[in-house]
Amino acid sequence: MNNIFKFIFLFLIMGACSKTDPSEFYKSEILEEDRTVVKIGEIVLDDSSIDETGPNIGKLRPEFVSNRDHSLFAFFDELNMQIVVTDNQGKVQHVVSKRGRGPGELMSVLGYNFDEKNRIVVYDGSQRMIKVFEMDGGEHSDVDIDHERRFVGNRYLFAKDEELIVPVINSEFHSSGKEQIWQSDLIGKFGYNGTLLESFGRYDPFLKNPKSYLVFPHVDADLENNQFLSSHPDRFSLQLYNLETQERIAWFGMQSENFNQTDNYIDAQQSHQAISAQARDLSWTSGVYFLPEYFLHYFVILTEKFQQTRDHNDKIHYINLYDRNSYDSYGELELPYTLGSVVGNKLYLIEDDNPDNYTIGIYEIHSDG
Amino acid sequence: MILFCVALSGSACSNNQTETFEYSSDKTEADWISYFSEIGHNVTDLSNHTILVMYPSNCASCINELEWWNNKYQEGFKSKISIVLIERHPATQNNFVDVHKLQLPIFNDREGVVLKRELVPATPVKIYFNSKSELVTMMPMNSRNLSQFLKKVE
Repeated sequence: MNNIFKFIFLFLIMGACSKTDPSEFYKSEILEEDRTVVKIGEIVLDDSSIDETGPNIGKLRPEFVSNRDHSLFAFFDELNMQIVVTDNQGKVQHVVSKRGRGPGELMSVLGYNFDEKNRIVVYDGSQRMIKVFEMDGGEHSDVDIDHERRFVGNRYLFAKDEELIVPVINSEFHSSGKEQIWQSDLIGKFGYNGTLLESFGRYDPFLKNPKSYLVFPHVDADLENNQFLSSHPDRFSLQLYNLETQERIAWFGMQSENFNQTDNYIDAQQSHQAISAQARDLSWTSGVYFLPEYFLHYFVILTEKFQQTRDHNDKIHYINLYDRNSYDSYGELELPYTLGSVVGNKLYLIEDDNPDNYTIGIYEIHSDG
Repeated sequence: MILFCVALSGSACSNNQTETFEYSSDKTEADWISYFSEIGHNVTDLSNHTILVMYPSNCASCINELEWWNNKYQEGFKSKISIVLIERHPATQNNFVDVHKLQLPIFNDREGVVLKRELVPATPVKIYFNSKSELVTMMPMNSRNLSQFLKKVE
């Protein structure tokens, strides 16, 4: 009898641990508890440490990264092709690189991040080079990346143990059309010397029926727990991979109230006007993030005003929070501004992108009741 | 590989359409003069004028062409040349001018009215008005169609 109870207990435990079969899509349920996003502070970028002859801050890409202990942030200045490193209060510490094709210079940055030695590691998509900068900008290395079999697939990069972890797309599928792209590997590891070490994972199987030509993954990596989270622009579903075993842990998600999808495929061969018009008022996944307790799915609704001004705060911003254990959802929350980064358990929203008053609001997720 | 960057915001440099196509436009000089008035610029004559319409952070090939036009302006080109720059922040515009050492006159369009009025279908583009103030051609700015564009410039 005792053994039967043990068996039932073990069965229940195993059931709880394997709530989702990673080979099957798990449609997340809505959890009863509510969550709210509460502002707890703000920082304003302070570039007074740059002397007058030094570079100004031009136009920062809204997404930024932090180092391992969250003491430093790095922003990419799209106008000056430089990486602006600040402390976590926004005071500029270093400015790394400049526009150009020479050693240590950048032409088109896809992903960039800190490694564990606080070096800035950059993938330049135009030059197809990995550039590693010491923080003070003195030493740097520039190497060609092996792009024979895998292209770097979006603006994300994670660096650990002299290796880059990036989203990839198989070169044979890059221009093969929508029918095959879902078969692409998802995650690529490259050495700092540019060598492709391995690639694994798959694009979301829902991309067998894509809604648009925009399929490039949005990803985040939790290097401490060897996890990798991904989604795609026209998807609400998420995939969770184990970076060590290379296996998919879960495939889950739910279409929340304001995640609007198109019924008609958006084709890249159309005119720009047609693409813009079709994409308008639809939801687009713009990021996925790990928080200590949650998976965060960030999506935006493209508005006509954004398409005219390119002001990211003219989009409508939402997050959907998922419990990291159950993969169930606390539901959708609207954000007042563009999500710039998630650092620890805090959300950093770009409230004002004027370089003279670059203001980042710091927000936390609170549980009601 | 650049397909995904900003295509949904209507960037002409991010789409894989043929790079030498021309946009059609039924807009007249009067439409453009009215537009310039709305964004606070007193422009009364667009004859023999090349206009570049762009955001500061348009892609590398567009920036290459911008620098080419800037050089032509300084050498003395056969048409007038101006930029319509869609940008809200004066600091960003000033930085853009400094970075590219621009001498070209700039009309600032803070809110993207040029797109709202559908004077251009996407950015970055270049437009030429001939000596009769007729809009002769409109093409993406990407360096690769420059010779085709220049054939239309009187």
